[in-house]
Amino acid sequence: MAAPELIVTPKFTLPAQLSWLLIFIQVFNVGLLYFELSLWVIAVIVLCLLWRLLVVLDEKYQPSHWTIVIIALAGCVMLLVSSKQLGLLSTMLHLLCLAYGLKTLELKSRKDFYQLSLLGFFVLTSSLIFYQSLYFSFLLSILLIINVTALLMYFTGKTSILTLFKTASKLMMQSLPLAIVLFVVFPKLAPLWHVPAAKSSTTGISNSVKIGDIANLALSDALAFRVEFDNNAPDANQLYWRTLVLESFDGATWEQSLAQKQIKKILLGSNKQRVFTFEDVDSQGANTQVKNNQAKNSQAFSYQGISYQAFSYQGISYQAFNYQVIAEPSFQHWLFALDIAQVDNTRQIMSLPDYTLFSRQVLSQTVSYKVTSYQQPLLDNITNKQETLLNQHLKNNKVRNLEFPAESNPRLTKQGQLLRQEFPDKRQLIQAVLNNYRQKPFRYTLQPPPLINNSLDQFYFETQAGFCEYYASSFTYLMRAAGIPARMVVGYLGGEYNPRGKYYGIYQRDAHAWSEVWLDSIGWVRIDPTAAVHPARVEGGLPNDLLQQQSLLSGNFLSLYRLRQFALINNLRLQFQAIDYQWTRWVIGYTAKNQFKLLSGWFGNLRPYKIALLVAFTFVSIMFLLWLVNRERLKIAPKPVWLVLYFQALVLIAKKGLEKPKGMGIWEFSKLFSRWFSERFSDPKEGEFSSVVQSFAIVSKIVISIEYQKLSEQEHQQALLNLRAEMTNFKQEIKKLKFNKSFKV
Amino acid sequence: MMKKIKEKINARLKISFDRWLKRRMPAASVQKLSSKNIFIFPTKFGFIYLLFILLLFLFGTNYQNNVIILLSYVMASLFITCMLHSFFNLSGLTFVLDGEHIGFAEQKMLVPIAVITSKERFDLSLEFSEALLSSKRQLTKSQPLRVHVDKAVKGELKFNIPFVPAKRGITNPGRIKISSEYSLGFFTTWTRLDFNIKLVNPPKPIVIRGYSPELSGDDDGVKQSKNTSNGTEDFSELKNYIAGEPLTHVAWKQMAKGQGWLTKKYHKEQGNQCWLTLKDIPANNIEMKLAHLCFLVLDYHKQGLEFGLKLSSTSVPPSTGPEHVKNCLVALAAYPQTNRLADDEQNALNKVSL
Repeated sequence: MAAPELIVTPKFTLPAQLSWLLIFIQVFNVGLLYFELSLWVIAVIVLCLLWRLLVVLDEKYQPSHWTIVIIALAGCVMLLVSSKQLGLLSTMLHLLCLAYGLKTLELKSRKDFYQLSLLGFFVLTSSLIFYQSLYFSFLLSILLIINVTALLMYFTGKTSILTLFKTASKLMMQSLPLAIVLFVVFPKLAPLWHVPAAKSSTTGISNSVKIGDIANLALSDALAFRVEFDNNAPDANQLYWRTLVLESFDGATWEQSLAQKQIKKILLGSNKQRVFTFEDVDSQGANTQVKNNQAKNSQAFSYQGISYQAFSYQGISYQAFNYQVIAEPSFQHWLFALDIAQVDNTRQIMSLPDYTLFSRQVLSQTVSYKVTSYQQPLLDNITNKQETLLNQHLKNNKVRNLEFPAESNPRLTKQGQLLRQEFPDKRQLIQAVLNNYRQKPFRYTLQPPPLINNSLDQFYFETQAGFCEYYASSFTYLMRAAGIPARMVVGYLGGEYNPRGKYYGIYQRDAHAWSEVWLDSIGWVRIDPTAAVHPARVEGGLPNDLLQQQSLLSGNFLSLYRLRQFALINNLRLQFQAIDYQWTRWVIGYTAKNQFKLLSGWFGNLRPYKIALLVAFTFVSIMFLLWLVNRERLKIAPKPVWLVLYFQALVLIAKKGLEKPKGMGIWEFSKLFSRWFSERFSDPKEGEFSSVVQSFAIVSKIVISIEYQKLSEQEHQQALLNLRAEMTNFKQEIKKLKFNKSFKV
Repeated sequence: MMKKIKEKINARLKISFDRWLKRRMPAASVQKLSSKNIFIFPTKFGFIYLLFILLLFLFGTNYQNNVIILLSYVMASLFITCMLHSFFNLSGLTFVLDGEHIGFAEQKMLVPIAVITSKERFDLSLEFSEALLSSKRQLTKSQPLRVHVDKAVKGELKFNIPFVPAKRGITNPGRIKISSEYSLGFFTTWTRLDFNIKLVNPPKPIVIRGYSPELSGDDDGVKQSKNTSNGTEDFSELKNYIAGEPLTHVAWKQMAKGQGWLTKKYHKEQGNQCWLTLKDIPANNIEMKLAHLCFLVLDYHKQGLEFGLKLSSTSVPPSTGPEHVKNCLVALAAYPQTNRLADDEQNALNKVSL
């Protein structure tokens, strides 16, 4: 028997280039989730990657299977311990990343490599739960291409990474059209089952406001939401985006009153049982009535009689504004709208009796909703007797909004009482207070001198410097002290109009606080004491001196917004933001409703078969296009001149009845022609030496010399000349022949 | 019972499939790959990838996250794109393989095949699709008998496909399977081409016990040499490999490597002509006799002796030189197949009688 050959099963090893690329990819894939992961998980992953680095450098460092198992188990235990705190989604994410980190130490076969690749894709994708902006998506798609490159590298051996990256990009680009069509036409499904929501720290306005909170918020340049008006927009000084109404004040903090919280709970619960729907709530409030009355007589709601400068409602006939709000994730429930907002999406959004909007779900991702706003004073109409608690709430409204802890700011309390005595007319009283703000040296600043115990007294009578919430807070307090029901409203004011995207961007720096007072004949009327102190704030966002303060305080010197005086930079910034807006609107905010609207606009009434046909059509055409692009193109080299000439001769002979058999040599055919030709004559000699045969023999000889002899360039040219000359001769000779194909001897 | 039926059905299916293959992809020495003869099917990884996409889609749907949904569509679309690219990776390749190839039975031989490509190709594997069925199952299992190339550059290349002939004879080794998992491993594309080649497999040379060394000169040659495995299985690039050498020459050289084939001894022939005769070989059965004969042929040639070969019905007249040895080996391979079973029985009998 033959001695068995010594065979060593080849050990699975990844090429060094690929190993390095994989480590690089892992760093970035996990890096995207950096802010969502606990520190210890990141530490474990970094450890694993460092270890892997060692293994790539020298294989002897490969950890044993048991080491990996122990690390994995330890990680799982840690996860179990911290799972309560992390929440389900975060725990799953941690588990995924942990597995991804550990897998890198166990690349023993092709299967492991595949698993690592798929895990990588998964980690990459899961970061999209948290971030979806255009920039992030762009970054992610580049990383995706690099991930694909690694997979590609496994199958292509020693090819430069740049070439592979190009190939991978090509693959992705070619995949895009079908993906886009699928995205547009493939039916958007409702969530199939409940999933744990992403938890994150809240951003934006919170539901309790202390002195100084808004000033802190104004340091941020983060986007809060964007608004696109259907046709005309209100004036900039009317863009008061209400977010929260705060009724209860304990001397330091403004909060929602207990009644507000209760009513919210009832409304939240009510939807499920359908006892009490939104429409009911609306009918209690002013909206429905407003709508009805507006139809009848729009003048009925124009309060021409009011003549206070600071009142926002002077002389406006109340028109409706339709707009779409796209809110960035804030991980809170509060939404944004102008006065008296009506939403169409009552399943997810409800309007509270104080006319703010409330989302049933935490805003964990971008949310878009359509609002119609009627700019008019806010009424508390108690006409409907259905819901006692709601009525109770509305009745108590005024009482509640007169409460204040009198001992917290004794001087203000006293001032209020004095005012009350001095001005029996509420409107005059309000005007007097506003005039006081205007006349005394109040300063509008982001850096007010600190107040002891949040004392409003100190602010109003001594420091007289503060941000909007200082003014709103002291004003509301004063109103209550003077016996006018008043409440604090926080939200955003103004916004930056982006002419390219035709939308308003409202940023955290636009956060604002103002007051609403109750006037019996009108309702809740918005009064912004900041307008009295610093009118420019209301007209055009944060003024430059405050912006300078802001950048100093926030340390954010590179903010493009601050460079807006440079036209080029500003244009670029607006352009980027406009693109991001379109992305947010059309991709992130593409809902089933949008889809239906879009598709029925294209195809008339929507039928499943039409969608199926469209998808099939796209599929086929894309396949065809891909085939066109990738098929092997046959490069037909142009035939050399001599060959063309020779073929001409062959065609002429074929016309006379002799075709050149395939595979026959050129010289053989010349001989054959001679024989064939001479057969047509009684005397073969005559045929053999006829000029046609001679001529063709010369042609053949020249062709042979060109094809088989290595001629120099000069000789070649000479041969071609000879060939041409001989061909003209041959053509003439063969034309002289009398017989043709049908001629038989 | 069930197993038997299953086997029968499988065998039937295989036969009809082979017949279909024969009709669709007939034998030829030059074959070009096109949609006519390329098969494509997702790999296991491809199916898992599809599952992953579905998961991604559900993930996106449940979170109502359009970017994730879009990503899942892109990934699904990538799957389709890869299908096309997998196909184009093979399509248009031309393979040329013909003639006879000599290799000793039960030893690895290399069958050279020429590949002509007009663009870069990736991840090509070539193997005899029947190789797994050969008797040397262990050998093939531990070291797959295939040649694999990560990247084949534009132009004409030559591959050597390893093959282990199961036994002596002149056979058609069956179809050659050419496969690839480019571009991302989602699909495997393959084809099975019949080049109608002939493998001439002389018996494996076996030393005769007590063979006198003075006859064989400095005898060290015939023992099993490390047969030709100079790492030809897994080269990553094949450009210009064994370019310019005549095909017969190559096969020859490979086979006789380590035995001093074209040494100077060959030129100083001694002229003592003799006949190697089958019936004179001391052995129990025909196969063993042939194996010994094969050994002698190679040994005589090595010493530069002139010799003839006499088998029962055929004979090769005395001569020298590589061409002569080739003729002898062909004659040995072509010797009618004896019934192995009968041989074995005889063996057993002999043992008993001993």
